[in-house]
Amino acid sequence: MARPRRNPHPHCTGVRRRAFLADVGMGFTGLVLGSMLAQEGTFRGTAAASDELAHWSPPDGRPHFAPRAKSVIWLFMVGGTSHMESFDPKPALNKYAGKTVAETPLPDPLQSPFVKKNLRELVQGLHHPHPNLYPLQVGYQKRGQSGIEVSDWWPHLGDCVDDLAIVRSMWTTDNDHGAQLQFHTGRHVLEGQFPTVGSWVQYGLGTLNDDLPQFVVMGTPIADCCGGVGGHGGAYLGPAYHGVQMSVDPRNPLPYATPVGGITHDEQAAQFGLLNRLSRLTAVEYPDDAALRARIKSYELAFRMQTAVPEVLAFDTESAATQQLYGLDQDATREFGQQCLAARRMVERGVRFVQLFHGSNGGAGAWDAHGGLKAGHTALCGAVDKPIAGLLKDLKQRGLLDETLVVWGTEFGRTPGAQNSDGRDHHPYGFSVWLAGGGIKGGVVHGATDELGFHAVENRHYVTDLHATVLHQLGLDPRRLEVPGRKRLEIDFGTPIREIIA
Amino acid sequence: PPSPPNPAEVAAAQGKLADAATNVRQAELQLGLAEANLLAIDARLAADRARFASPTDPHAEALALAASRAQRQAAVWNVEKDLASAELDLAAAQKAGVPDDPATGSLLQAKIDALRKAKPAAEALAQAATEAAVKVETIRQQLATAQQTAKASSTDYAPLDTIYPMQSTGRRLALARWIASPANPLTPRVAINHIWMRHFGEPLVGTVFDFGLRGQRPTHPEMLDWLAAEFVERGWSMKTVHRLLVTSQAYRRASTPHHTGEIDQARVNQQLDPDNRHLWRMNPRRMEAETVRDSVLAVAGELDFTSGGPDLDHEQGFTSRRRSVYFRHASEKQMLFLKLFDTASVNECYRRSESIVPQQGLALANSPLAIERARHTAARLAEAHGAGADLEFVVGAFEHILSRRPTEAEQSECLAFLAAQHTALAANSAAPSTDSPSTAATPDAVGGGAPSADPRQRARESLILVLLNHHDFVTIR
Repeated sequence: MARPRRNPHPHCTGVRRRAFLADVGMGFTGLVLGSMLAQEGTFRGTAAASDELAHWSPPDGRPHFAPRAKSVIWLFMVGGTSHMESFDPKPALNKYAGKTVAETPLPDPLQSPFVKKNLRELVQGLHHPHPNLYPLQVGYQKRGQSGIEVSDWWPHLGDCVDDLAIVRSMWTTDNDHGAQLQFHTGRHVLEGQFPTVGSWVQYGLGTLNDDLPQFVVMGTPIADCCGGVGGHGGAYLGPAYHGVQMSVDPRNPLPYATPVGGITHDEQAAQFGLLNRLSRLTAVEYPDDAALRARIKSYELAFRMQTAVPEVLAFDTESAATQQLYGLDQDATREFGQQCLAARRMVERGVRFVQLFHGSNGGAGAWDAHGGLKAGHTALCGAVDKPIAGLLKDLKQRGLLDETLVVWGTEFGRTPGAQNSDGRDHHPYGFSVWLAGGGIKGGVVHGATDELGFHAVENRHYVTDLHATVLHQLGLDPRRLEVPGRKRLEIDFGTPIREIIA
Repeated sequence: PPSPPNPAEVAAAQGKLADAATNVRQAELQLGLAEANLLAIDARLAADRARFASPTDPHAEALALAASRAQRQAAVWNVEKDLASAELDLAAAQKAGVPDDPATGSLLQAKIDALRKAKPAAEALAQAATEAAVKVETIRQQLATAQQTAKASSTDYAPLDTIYPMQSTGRRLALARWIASPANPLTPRVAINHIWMRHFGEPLVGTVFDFGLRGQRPTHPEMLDWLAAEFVERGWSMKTVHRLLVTSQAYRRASTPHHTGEIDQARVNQQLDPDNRHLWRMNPRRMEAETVRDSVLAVAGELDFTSGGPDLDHEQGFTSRRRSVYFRHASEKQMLFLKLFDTASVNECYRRSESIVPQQGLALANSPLAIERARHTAARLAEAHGAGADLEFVVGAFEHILSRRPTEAEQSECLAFLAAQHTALAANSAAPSTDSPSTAATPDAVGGGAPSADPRQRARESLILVLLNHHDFVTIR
């Protein structure tokens, strides 16, 4: 075994850390400090992998190649939206309604190699096959110039179909709600916590705006049962790369946003300045403390957020027409509409990754329609359809859609077979997502499921292909972001979906 | 002599008298009903007590008889009250159908037209009157039945609450015995996992809420089992487990790897075990939310250690000195300050997250809690260290708040800060016409008190506030 090197950073110039900090003082951004200290802290791996260390340097914040997009808005429906009643029409379900799967041309879908190879149940046998086919609970219409069929539960989004690339052939491996975490990390929930797509983006790219967090989370995150705050976490990348949750309440945009007790602005600036200097001194004493580095960065942000966040959430500066576009004037759409409007304002101001959760309810998620599918989805779509369409239209009319990648997803689809007489069960074998903007083709459908909407059969994509597409549009190569000692599997990297990239 | 009374006035007065008499009757009935209900409840309570007394009360049967009778009496009152109400309604319905003014000849046609138009309404009123009459009749019959029943004697009365069997099935006891059985491996292992997690920062089993099929495997299964067995063998004493864990070598390891020596062992360890699965060092941890608030108060010498008592209103988090654990904690009723520092979920009590978000910084820098306590702490420290040199104050502040002495570099930074702030604040107070935005006090000043009038002390208050925001204040290394 090679003897461990005294100085494991041969590419360092040999300047001692303390001297460096003392010389530069307050002048450099948190990212540079983080990268510098990250050389110490995230240097992982066995002594035998010292070659790997020798050639590794942390990301410098610049994309690896020319990006098409600057920011991402990631919309996640918690619980499992029915794909066959949203973006993947399956007339066969109406044709064979009431019959069993055995009576269709696809009599034995669970015998498929896709199941044997990919399915990794959380609890074996918990989800039984559902043989009786349930007819579609909503109709479809061809929308836009592309004539793509969108269900009547998404009427506003149908207006925007010419900007969407709908992917109908996603698959995942968990048929339970750990799939929520999996959709964001690419790994099954039993494997634990891994960095999510948002944290990779934040890790790989520099910030465009020092006044706001780079990775913002709105809505209620996924529940502890199904991944918890890991759904927007950074795992081994460290706490500095976790998404920062923000609640969107224009009447109270930021708790404790100003100091009380007569503290003046200058005084506060001086206080934060001293805190920053003392913290950096401590960081020299504890170079491996990722939490300390994250706290330094969070205080720098906190100081600036005092003014930046109330400004971002000042919706009254938007025209009445815009507010109505997002549905702010209606009870059903107000909450999600505010979050979508906040998302647009954030990417306008350079936030890199905005993750919006809808439907998280402390359990499996509101979209999880084991029963009452029609009423449930009608209400849920009623809450999000208009705001999402409003967001797309607003981004487009402001010329932001070209450089903002909008992604809509859910953890899995729902079974063609009926459950509880008026619902559908979890379904990981084939489901739909869509992308818009950020250099993605509009008005296209990619991939297909079989006649019953059971298996993804054409152009199959695991969730990491979606991550790879997002990173690609941002100009990032995930293989170049790998951290030494945290080897990723081939399937972790995924492959960008070339067919939908313009 | 007084003029004879106006017939209309007489009629009106008589009407009022009749109304008043009705009201009195209604009120009497309601009072009677309320009293009867009270007697019935008392009687049922006494009967229930006697029935379930141990040893059995000899008066149980008599009390049951009395309870039954009292309940039926109350039922009679209830029906009488309903009857009176229904009769009133009937009278009102009949009256509504009758026009007030006598028609004169010239208005007759108009009246007939109006009546024709009003016919459907009148028919509805007539219908209502008929229904009211039927209702009155029904209730009269019910009253007769109730009075009949009241005379009969019985021991049946409505118990005040669900009646449980005298003899338990024993199932709960069996479950409790199984949970606490030395033959049950689950209970002690789960308990040990929780206790371990709270001492070391990371659990042995990652899924603290699930040791089943969906759970993660323990990182140290043999040790978990051994600790579980020890726990049971030593009489399920948690204190013993605490003692065992905190006197162990693992617990006493430093949290800070020292990069010294010929071979940088800490660096080697870090490369071999970056996630510290083998506890080659202690895990530094952030204080829990309640501890943050309590520590801010404790540092100011103001934490009230009184234990017990009812839960406190969560809105009083900044005015109360009690420990945070005593505040109300429900889904719509949580102290915001605690929420920002990841207080317990209201639904489960498994594992807290230790997030690091800017909103926490704002809470510790801007809230009335932090600012007021910082000022008090600064005052106490100034007293303790006299009006002496800033250096003593700085050293005293670090020792008091961060439990360590400042390094040379930290000292110089703090002294430079105090000097600079002193100068700046003195200059500002010397020129009081300050309307420039950079020096104007922020308008919304709810709480927080006032800064010290002495610029030197005011600078020290800022220093204390900075130390409360230091990473090392909320971190347990």
